[in-house]
Amino acid sequence: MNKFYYLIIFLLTTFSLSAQRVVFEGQYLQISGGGKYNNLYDSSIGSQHYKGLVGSTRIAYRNNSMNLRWWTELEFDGGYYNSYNFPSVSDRVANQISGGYNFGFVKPLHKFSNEFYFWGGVSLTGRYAYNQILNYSNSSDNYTFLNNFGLNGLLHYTFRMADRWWSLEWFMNVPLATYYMRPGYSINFPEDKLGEQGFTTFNQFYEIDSEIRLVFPLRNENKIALEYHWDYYNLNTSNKVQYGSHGIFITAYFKLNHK
Amino acid sequence: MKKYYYIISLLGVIAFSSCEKVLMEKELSDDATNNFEVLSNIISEKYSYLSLKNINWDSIVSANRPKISNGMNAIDEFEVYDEMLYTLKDGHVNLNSGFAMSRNWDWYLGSPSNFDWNIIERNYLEEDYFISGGLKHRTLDEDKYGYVYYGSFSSSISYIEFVKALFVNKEVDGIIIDVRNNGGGYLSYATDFANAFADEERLGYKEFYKTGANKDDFSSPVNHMISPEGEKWDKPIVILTNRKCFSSTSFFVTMMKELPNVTVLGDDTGGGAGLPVDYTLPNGWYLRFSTTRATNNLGEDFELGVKVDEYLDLDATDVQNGKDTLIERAKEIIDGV
Repeated sequence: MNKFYYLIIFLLTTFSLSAQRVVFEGQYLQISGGGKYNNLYDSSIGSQHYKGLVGSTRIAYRNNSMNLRWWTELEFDGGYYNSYNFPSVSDRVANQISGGYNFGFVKPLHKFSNEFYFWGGVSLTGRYAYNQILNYSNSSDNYTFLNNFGLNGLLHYTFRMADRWWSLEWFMNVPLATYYMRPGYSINFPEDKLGEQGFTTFNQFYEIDSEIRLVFPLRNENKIALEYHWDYYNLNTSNKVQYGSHGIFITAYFKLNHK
Repeated sequence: MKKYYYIISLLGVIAFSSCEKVLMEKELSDDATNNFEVLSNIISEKYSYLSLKNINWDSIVSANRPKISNGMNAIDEFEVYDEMLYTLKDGHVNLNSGFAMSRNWDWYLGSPSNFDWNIIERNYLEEDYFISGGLKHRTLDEDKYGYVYYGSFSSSISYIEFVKALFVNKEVDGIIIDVRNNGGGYLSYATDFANAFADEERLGYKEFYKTGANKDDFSSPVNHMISPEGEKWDKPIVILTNRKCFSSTSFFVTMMKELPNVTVLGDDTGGGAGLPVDYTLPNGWYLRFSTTRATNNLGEDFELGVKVDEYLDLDATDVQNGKDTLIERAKEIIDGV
């Protein structure tokens, strides 16, 4: 497995391809707001799927150049779950609070044309989800904490419309190695500590994080984007948890380093 | 160039139509057969006392499966589960359907209550007793004895040091701690209460966590210690119990029994040594069941009750005369009689 990681690092550090006219260059402060529809199956809390809405916000610093894009991003979500139909306040069964980070980079790896590039890279990501099951007592506090190291892929297509350069991006992150923390098999906090924890990879855990962004140019090199995110993970330890999320975001990119 | 539009369009369609439904566990309908299977499996895999109570859960499941059919009346369905769960003989096992809650309360209904709050309030605490958080207390017989009634481990014990200081100041000969009818609450309060009277660090109880689906899959013992906190107390302590003492109260009595100056008087506690967790069936009914085991220092399981040092029931004549037999006997024990 180590050879695989070395190969990835080698490829990413030796590519010298530069993307032309396909990236909005510079340093940006990114602020996103939106909502997600989440679907959770957690065998430690029941046989049902929990479905619900969360409000979500992201803040990030992005540094884009023609041969490297890197970012550090924080995310905060809050909402609730219902166990049957589309959620309403009156029949909420659980509160959900979650957050996370994504620190990563991509480099251009393949050029399809001057407007169309494939970028690749790696990320450290963290996902911390806390669910409070309202009708439960000892086991009301439920959590899934994940720290991932994974691969990034980015398809980036730039096109000209209304006399401006627009950008369509499909970003994907797939973790390779994960450190997880979950409730214990029989009780959430055995010995008053966190329950199960350990390193895992594809044999027990997989995740696909997909983000599609349509970026509109604004004045002063600022941007605004409409984004759709789909995230799914499956952690199959003693209490299986599966989570799917669909999110719509409006994102503003504020240029920080005007020339 | 067109082909790139096609590629992007295709990828977009794939991404937008990405749906976790094909990847996730199938969402079970709320049919009775699904409810039955889920309940049967979760008890089989996670309930912690099948071995100790010598329960053949598989045969119970087999015997009840024919009674279940999709479309059956919800009350009839509930009654099947009620009967199945009743065999677990556990006050921590409940199924809550909203319209009913299954339970087995034989652990106290089959025994004398040994408790009359009116006698305690009117003839012992009387009008001018202290209410310090969850602790109701005063001195008895011209400050000879300290008396504390604690009715729920969900009520605050943050004034326990105040109570001790009051009794020290009055120079009482000993304390009567009355936890009769205390059905439990926060286990941390039980430990805090025991710490307030601990003379040295001692093993309070051992706990075993279910770690797998086989009925004997348990963790190695986790030792829970008690250790002295606050002002030292070395005078006699008598703890009054009845069968309605359950859950955290059984833990409290177990821990207190480790102390050399403690006598437990009354009836065995109701037990309840497994920590319960909750689970939701496909139809939304809430199931609660024990997933841990606990023993005292000697390895004796107290799921079915903590043994008292001296058995005593309320005497009918005493009750008629407004006397609490247990409190009167507790005074004698403190006096060394």
